[in-house]
Amino acid sequence: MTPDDASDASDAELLAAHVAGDPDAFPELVRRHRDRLWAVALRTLSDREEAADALQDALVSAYRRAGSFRGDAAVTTWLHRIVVNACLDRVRRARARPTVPLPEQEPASGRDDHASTEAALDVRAALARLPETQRAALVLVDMHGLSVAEAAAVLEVAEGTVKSRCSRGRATLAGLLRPEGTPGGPAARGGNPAAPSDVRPVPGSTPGPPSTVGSEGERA
Amino acid sequence: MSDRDFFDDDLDDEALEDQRAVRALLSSLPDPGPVPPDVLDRINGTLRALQEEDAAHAATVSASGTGATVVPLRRRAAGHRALWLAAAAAVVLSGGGAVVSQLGSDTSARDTAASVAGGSASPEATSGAGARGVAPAEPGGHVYASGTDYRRADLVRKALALLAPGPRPFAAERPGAAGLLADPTTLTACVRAVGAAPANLLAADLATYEGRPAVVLVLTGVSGSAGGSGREVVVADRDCRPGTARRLTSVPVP
Repeated sequence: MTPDDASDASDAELLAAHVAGDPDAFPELVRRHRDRLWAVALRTLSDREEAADALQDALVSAYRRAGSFRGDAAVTTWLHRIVVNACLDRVRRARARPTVPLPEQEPASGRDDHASTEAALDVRAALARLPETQRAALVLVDMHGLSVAEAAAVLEVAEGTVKSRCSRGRATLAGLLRPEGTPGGPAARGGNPAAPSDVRPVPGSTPGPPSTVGSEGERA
Repeated sequence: MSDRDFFDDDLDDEALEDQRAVRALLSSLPDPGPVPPDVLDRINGTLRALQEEDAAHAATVSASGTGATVVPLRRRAAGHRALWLAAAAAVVLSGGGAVVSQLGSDTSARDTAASVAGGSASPEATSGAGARGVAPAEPGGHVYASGTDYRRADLVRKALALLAPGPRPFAAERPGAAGLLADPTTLTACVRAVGAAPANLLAADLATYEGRPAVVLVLTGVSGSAGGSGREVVVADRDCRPGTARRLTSVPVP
């Protein structure tokens, strides 16, 4: 497969070519999806170095285990699954170690809006306090725009479990982000229910790109 | 699909609005952006090493003339393979015919290592005749399984010898004991666990210290080194991992 052919091939074709020994196939697959996989790792772990390690571990695992891909899910689902599992493994190993908490690092966004940075840090700090299973569910569903069904495929749990994890995670976040002494939930204080005044969204930011997880036959 | 598909069915109106608010907030967070260049370089380097490993293995099996089907390394059992198996395949047998130590438990890797003499799949892995090592640990440093018994009196001298080219006395290392070095993630975690940065690792040697199983690490970038060289030799328990890592001793390099 030439590099041009690689760029035209579907994800499934690339993975098959990689298993067959094509050296250009896996790098092309990585090139297509690495940024989204990086975002998943970074949002799940909230630590740049941990995310880098997890992403590397995941890609090595995908490289080695490509032959075990059965095709019962989209390649992107499979890749997301490997990354999420690598992240959750790191969280569980970190919890088992008597170390200081991992520092939270704000990814370079080029923004100089201090208030928006603070708000984003508040949300990320709150996210980091969630159990990793709830955090992973919210990263996939609310931050990466996956459907509940897609997230369930990535996490290999039932759809009801994804909804439940998201629900509990959001409820916890609502409590963590609520200013002290404020009664009720974020929406109870009026204003735009989608952007409650006490929980500041990042102004001027736009949601992430629509998810392409689960789309078979996707091409570059 | 309505947004109710994202929420539990049994939420009251107020709870549902809280859920919507949090979901909207999370979706409004800025995208982290592309993979940073340094992370990308590291990942690309790792993948290139994997491909070189596969290519070296395929070439070795082909050269054996057995006519056996070449099976890329990635089709073996799951689990991380030592990234430096390609270099292990180029191990030079010592003049005394010492048993080549292997990393990991894969027998084909042992066969590969034993069947190749001379050359190197990785320029960093071998240095001089009789030297035996493996490809650099991620992100840097030479990794050995010499079985040397280091003593306090000769710790620095022998550890620094790991950095020098030329023949070194190697002994057989029992298979499986190299588990620490077989997994770059584990070795990296060990280096961090003893308080150093993986990038500062110059060499690691699976050996013994005062008769006790240990891993000897030669590190650079040490500030306040008594000798001023900025280097340090750290000896840790063989079971060197976060939470259990223990420095048996550390000596600054003059």
